[in-house]
Amino acid sequence: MAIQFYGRATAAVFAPLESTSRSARVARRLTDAIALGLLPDGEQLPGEADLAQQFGVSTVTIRESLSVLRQEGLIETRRGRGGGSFVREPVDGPAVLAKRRLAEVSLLELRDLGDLYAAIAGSAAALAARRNDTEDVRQLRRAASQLADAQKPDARRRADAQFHIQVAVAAQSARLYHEEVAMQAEFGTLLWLAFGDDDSHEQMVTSCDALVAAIEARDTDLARRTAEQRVADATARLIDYHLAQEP
Amino acid sequence: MPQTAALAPEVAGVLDAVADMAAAAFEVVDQISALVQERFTAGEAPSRATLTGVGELCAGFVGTRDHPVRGAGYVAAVGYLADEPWWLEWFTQGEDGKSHRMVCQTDPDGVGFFDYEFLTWYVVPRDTGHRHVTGPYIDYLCTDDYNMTYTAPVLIDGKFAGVAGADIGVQTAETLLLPALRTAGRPLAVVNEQGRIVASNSGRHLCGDLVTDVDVPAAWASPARAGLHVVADLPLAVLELAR
Repeated sequence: MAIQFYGRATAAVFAPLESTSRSARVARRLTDAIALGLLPDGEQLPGEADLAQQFGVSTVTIRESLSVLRQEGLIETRRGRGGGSFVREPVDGPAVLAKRRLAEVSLLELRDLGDLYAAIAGSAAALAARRNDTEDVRQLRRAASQLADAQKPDARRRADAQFHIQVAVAAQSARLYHEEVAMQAEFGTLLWLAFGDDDSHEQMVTSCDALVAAIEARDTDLARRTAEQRVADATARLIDYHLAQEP
Repeated sequence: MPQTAALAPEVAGVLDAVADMAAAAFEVVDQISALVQERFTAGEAPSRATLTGVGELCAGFVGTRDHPVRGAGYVAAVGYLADEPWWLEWFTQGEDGKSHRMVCQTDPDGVGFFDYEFLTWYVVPRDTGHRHVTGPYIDYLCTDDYNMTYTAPVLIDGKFAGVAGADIGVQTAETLLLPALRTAGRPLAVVNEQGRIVASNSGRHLCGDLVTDVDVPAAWASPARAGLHVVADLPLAVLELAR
């Protein structure tokens, strides 16, 4: 088959929709949710038909994804009355899932993910600086103080994720908000490996406060720079962490 | 509507469209509120089980594409129900066009706990005793979309028992408001009391932005001078923009 060239601008129209299969992407989403602790140990997954409807894929695709998760020991399927698929958290904790994934990722991919996340977080922060009202600032301060008060690594990670969500909410952009959520699932799970200790926590609390101040002052440039720097710092920590692991 | 009689017709047309949209939402809110009050004053201690009928009522609006409301229900005052300290009896339209109960985390120790005690659509009716319109806002806890929520307090024996509410998405609001804005023949914006734009007929005044031409919160008390026309008893107004 001859591939027609429609010019540079239109080439994107005919680019493949997604490079990975649908079942692999569903499996990845569910794995990320387990890694993030959103689907705790013992949680029952919705039935195949419901999952198919929620993901907008066929039940065949769902069956493939579930069989991947079953092979990895992340779910257990029981038959009969009261049966279904139940989450089985890895014995050494959900972080092992993120570690497994990190081992397969190159430094270049991490840099690329960091660049994209910085673009999303930076734009959301700039729009938040332009569009915030007093209620937004109140919610941001609340999220920032929850992060500052959080003691355990898990609580710190959740509070950090919540703070990012609040910034995207203040930006009033549904698309940026959805991109932020998608990045948290794809990249946040990895970033969290290198976040939660006192050192990184202190750094994040400081930059959160700086970001809230810039947003409240309606300083769009400073808000964008501060948010980009936050992501750059987190990415750098992750890359250092990655390099410190045994190859 | 007598208050709009003296207005320029182009402004009155948009004001009517805003009032109609709010009326469609509050029609649902008022019915939910009346039903919940009836259930709770029937004698039993308020619990989840006493909330029968809310789902059927909501489905009549949420489960049809003819009505602009896409989500509706009752949210209990924290600690009001005997068996569930936090509870949302809330229904949204699914992909199939039907009404489904929204299941959310109401255990404060659970992951993703739906902590509504600090959210505007709950707090304002509780603290003021009046109905309120929240948004446009990114509804990250419920619809995951760009939303406006209309709420009113539910009072039982004068005591706050929660809110009845209905959602109309910002996209739907645009569809409802744009015909009147298009025919207005002059730049106008529908804004909330923070000055946030719901819809406008100007490319320089985008939905979600705060208007910078006028200090809307400051002008709210004496709106006429600022070219601001407030919808009676609601935090929504039509603003005349500079031509």
